Amino acid sequence: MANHHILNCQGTDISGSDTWQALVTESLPDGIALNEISLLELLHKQEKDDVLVPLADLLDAKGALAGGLLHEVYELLLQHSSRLGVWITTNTDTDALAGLTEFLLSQALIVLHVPLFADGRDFSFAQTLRQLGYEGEIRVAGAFGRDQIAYLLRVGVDSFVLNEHDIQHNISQAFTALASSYDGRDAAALPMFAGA
Amino acid sequence: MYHYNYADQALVEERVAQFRDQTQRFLAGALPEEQFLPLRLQNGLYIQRYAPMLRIAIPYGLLASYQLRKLAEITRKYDKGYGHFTTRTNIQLNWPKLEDVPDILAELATVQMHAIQTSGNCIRNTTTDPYAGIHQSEIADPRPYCEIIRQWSTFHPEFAFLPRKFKIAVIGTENDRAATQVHDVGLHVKKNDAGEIGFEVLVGGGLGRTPVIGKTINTFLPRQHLLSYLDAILRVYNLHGRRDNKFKARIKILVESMGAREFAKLVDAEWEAHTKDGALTLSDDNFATAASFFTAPDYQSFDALQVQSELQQQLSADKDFANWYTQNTVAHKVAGYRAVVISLKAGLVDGKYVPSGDVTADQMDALADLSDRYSFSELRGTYQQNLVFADVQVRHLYELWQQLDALHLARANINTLTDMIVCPGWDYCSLANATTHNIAEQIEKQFNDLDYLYDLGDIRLNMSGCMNACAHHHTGDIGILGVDKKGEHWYQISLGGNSSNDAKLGKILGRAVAANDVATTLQSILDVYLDIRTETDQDIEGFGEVIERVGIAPFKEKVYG
Repeated sequence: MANHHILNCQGTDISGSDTWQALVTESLPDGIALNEISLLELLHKQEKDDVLVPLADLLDAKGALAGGLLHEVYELLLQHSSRLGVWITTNTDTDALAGLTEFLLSQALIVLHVPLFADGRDFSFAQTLRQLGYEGEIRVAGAFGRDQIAYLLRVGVDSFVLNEHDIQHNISQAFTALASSYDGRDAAALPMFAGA
Repeated sequence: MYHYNYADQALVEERVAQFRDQTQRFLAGALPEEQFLPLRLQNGLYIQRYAPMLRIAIPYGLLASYQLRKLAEITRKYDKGYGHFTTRTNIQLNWPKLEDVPDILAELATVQMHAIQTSGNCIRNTTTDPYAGIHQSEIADPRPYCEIIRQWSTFHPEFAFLPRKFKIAVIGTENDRAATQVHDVGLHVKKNDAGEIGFEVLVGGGLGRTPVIGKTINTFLPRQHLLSYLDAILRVYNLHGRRDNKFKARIKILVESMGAREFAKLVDAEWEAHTKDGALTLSDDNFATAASFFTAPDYQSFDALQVQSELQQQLSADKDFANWYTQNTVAHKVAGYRAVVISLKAGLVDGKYVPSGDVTADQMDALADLSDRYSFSELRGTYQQNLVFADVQVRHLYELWQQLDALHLARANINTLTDMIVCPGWDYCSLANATTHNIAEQIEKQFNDLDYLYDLGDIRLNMSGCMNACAHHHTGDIGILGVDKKGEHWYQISLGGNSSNDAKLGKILGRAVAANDVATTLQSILDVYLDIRTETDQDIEGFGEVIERVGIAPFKEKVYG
């Protein structure tokens, strides 16, 4: 999992202070977090860590929080971690927003994994989470591009997992692009109504 | 017309800076092609058969004379001195250099123009009726709503990477001149019994390889909910639209797969859960602000009798003018005014075919001057790839006609067979399967007698060079689709399509015909039509009505029998 960096919403590299570790599972994509931890390791560790688990592995076939491989050990995970978060691949979990609102709102961190640059479901995920009142951290990871950061900031994303290559060529511009654009949530912010 | 304020201007300038950065990173090898592709498309930039193509937005078709002059200047400086008007009322440059595009965008920004979201899988330029605001029977002027939608959709952060492109059209009259039923969303302005304004909302129309007529999912959406409801439609589409197959990714496929009623339920659930009555709700003050940009120009009043008698003299003295008046001018709600349609279907000029929708830089400059003199310095683009002067004094029509005629812009063929919608085809477009310009030229040569065209009456002929259907061949009375058969260009003909109120998809006549046979095949079809149409003193049965009555069998028999 080398060569990834986490940038906050100002474009500052916060890799050094980020404490989140992704729980090792079969489906764990590269770059969900800077570090990984296995279930065994976690259960044997004295100190408690911040741990990210895959939402998909908490759900049964119908998308309910009743089954899934990890659901059985969820209580254990809670006991052995300082904070829990989930990562979601927007490729498969589209219905999660409607059915799991309460659970999602209780997460400290939600990582949206983007399968393809052109796949824009993460934008609606983030926007909806904010409209539902989610106040925790939203992070994007995966195949999104730096040129999408301006829009991702506006739909409520707080942090970004980027690779080494992405943060070259004056990455700060990605965080200041389209500075006057709006968040899509408020008609009063449209140019003709904003009285600018 | 809407004028940018500080915020709008800042937005377009920020976009220019952003795209300049992206282009530089791409040329330096620091931005991968798979990311630059969707980014450049959202700035209207395609890579075509021979050169890039830049599509510049003309929001809902409204263009000021100073903007047209800038377009003329840009085509001279960066292109080959002409531009091409499209069915979405945008204008395309066919020969810009990739590295020049940031400079072109910067020049456009100086006249409040841009290429934002003219392509790509995002919300595209909203279109409307070219006679918005001047039509007698209008329920309400659609342009303020178009402008609100423009501002809402511009850089909407949630909907820039949709499954596929998304097109919205708005009309304010019962008569549909904007092909709203073949749009992803069609909005029809309505007034309820209490006199309140709202919209009938249609969703899931579209052409391309799976043509579908849009379906009504809301018969009256009160106007204050316009944005929150659109937002809900777009979110349902963004989350549920197919992304596994480009050809199944339009909203029409989603709506067809679940049915309009189910889709409407999903939209309502999304809307009520998240955005209804929230901050996207528009107030009456908001609508008043938007409407304030589209007030009536400073119309004068005239001695109606004198104006009419002068006009009658001119009409009887000059048959060519009379033809143009009949075909190319349109009634206006204000007495003493008419709208003038400028035909961009010149056909053959000095023996050379002029492609539909093409305008030279010199013509642009001249049109800008004429609009200053005769139509409050504004022009409008139309779905049929023509231009409109919306507010011309009747007493100026004759002199305007003379000047347009000298520019080859007064061909009196509006709504006739040669008022063809034609895509650029194989000559320019890398998606095309077949050429279109040579076929249009062949048709022009075969049907060059105006009296014959007038006898045929209104007939819409649309020709696309591939099944992407940019020229909407499905909705022509006669549609022509270019197809590739083992490296040769063949042409499939369909009959009976319509994009207006009674929108219909044409029926395919039979196997495709060879390139050289298109015009003679059309002649056979038109012979049948003239032969079997019913005529009374009051009414002549139109082409679409004949197809409706007898089907395509007699035409098939004549062509293939």
